[in-house]
Amino acid sequence: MSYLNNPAIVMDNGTGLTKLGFAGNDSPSWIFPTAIATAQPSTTKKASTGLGGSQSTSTGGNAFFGNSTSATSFNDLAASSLLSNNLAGKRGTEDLDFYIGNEALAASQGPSYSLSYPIRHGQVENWDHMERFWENSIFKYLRTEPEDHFFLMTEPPLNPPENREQVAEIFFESFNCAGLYIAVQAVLALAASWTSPKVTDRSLTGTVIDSGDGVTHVIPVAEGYVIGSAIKNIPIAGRDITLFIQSMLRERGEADTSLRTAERIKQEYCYVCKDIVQEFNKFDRDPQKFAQFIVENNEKTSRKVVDVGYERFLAPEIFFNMEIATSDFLTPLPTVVDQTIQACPIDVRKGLYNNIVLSGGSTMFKDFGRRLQRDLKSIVNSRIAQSELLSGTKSTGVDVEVISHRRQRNAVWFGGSLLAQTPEFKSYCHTKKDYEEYGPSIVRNFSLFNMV
Amino acid sequence: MLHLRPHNLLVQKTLSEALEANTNGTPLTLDRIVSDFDYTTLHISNAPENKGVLWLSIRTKAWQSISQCGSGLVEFILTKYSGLGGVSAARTEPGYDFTLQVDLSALQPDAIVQLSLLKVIIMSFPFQLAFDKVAQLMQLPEGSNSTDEVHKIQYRDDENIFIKPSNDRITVIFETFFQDETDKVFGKVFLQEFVDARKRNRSIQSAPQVLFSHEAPLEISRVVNQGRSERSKRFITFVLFPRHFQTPELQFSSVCHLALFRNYFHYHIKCSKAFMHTRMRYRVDSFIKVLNRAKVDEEDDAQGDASRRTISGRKMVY
Repeated sequence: MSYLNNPAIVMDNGTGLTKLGFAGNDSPSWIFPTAIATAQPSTTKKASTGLGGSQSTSTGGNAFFGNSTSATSFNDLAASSLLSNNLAGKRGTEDLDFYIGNEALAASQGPSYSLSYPIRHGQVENWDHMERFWENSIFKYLRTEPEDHFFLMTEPPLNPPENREQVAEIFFESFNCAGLYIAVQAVLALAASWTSPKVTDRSLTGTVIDSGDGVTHVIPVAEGYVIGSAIKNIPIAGRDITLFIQSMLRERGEADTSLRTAERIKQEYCYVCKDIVQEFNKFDRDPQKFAQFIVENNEKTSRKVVDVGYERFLAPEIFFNMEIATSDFLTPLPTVVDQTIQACPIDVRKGLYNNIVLSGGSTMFKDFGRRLQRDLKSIVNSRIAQSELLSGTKSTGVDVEVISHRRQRNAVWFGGSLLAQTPEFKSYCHTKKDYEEYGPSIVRNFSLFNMV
Repeated sequence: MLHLRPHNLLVQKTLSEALEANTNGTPLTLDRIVSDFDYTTLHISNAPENKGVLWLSIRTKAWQSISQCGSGLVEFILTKYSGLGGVSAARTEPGYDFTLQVDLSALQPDAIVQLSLLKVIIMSFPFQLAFDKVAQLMQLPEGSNSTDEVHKIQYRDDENIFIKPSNDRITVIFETFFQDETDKVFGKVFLQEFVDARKRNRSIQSAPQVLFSHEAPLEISRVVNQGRSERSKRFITFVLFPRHFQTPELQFSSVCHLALFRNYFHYHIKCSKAFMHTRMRYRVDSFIKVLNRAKVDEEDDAQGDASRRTISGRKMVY
């Protein structure tokens, strides 16, 4: 069979961004928002009246909509456009009128499309939209015939198995894909860390700190299995840092305080410092540290100069001293990591301390890993000292190692690409034939990669 | 919408990025695999010694059969790129069928679209041969102007395209085969619709005639191998008349549509399935609603039930 030569497709659908690409590449081919713009029901109604007046059926549908007593949410627009039971009203091609990704963002500026994000908190909420999102991303963006390719999908930790089955149904029944593997994002992030020179043994045990735009997860993984009971979330991530920078710019009354500027400053100037007080002194002594950021508009006609000050080191400091930005959550990241590992079975804890892997855009700050390692080490060492004092015996000590690497931003996708290019990958996948034999429940279990 | 573009978006994007980075003085390090329909893989990489020069290699299943259609395939491709600055032939990369060398410093932005059309250009070679043949046959006197020439493009494992030129038309026949039973049913409806649409809709009378059959049409019965899987094969025929290939622009758009026909067709099947699934999900939800309405309210407990009712039979509300 000649599909064996085709590269596998790695799809990482996140809450904010979707990463698509081919196994073996070093970066995703496409990164765009997981957004879909569908034709609004108002325009479809207009279209159908134009076609020959099915106005009564659609208003009938809306009346039915108003009487709904079910708890099931029908708030999304696609569903309400489908509420008319009359098939004659469905002659149009409304279901084909949609855009995804950046095109969706552009289309939603106009009046006739409405934007929706089918993934919430990492999990697929709207399967209708997701199915169309996939269909367009496979055919239009990746230009592949799904029958010829194997697919590696990702899922968040603690994804219900029903969702996996739903994914399998769509991929095997709608798309007839050759084979499917669904991997947990944290495990792929661990695999991505193998590119770091610090990693000597390719084990799938470690703690993954995944910080994207919306939320930060601390996920312990032992031998490729996620320890679900110990996962901790921190409601602070990239967006909060951007907002913090924006508020600092506003307080100082800078010339440009848009969210976009704040985000650019975050990406280009921010770093993690060793000690805030020292860093403040350093800044006051040495004005060179203050940077200037120049905002140009699209036509490059006007220039605004924005000074970048203490936020260079204060913004990433939020992870370590939450109280400077919020009062909702006050446990610093190193403490959360320590609590997570302490909540795990005692025999894997050493491995988890040994291999703390960063993933996601908000862990990209310079020296982020180093600071985390130092803080965590001091927590661990003080605990060891206390237990030595209490028990009177000598501890063998615990190594704390935080691994940062170059592929951190798209670590999950990169890990997927790394695993999917191995010759064994296809033997770990479930194929269309298996699916037809056993049904969707087959995807509840996948054998783990054992990379040598 | 559902329109599939003839050019490869990803090649276009990658090359545009590379060109922009190169003009900014920071050439990208590239080693990318890009895929296209029908067992086509493209590889974009830096030339070993110079980062400003890219190699664009292609490997496609159809290459072998296309190169057997007639001589001069490589020359044909190169003439398509001859007018573009910075694009030249290169030594073919091992594992690939054809390699173009792209010099980013001399590349014009307009040439990028042309480069991302590489696969279509390869596919258009046998069509071009057919166009030339028709032009040649038209000049010949009546009686001697027929040919048995049939070009066969083996673009997938079980599926082929046959192109037969004759003195006043070109017949393009797609052999289709479905791996999946559901697809077969959808496909049949779609193919029949292709045939019927032209009869019903007056505004598309100028479109090529479409025929659909279960047996190999007579034009190609000689070249089709009567294999085992013959029963599940379907044939769809497009008849191109001279008005479809009069000018080079028309020729190009005809070839683009035909080269993408199968992908477009399968894309549509997938989309209709997705639509069916949407309807099914909606239907299941509405059934669940009906079931929920039919649910009897939870009785609190058997003995307390009687005491909590008023004399008229209503429930007491606390």
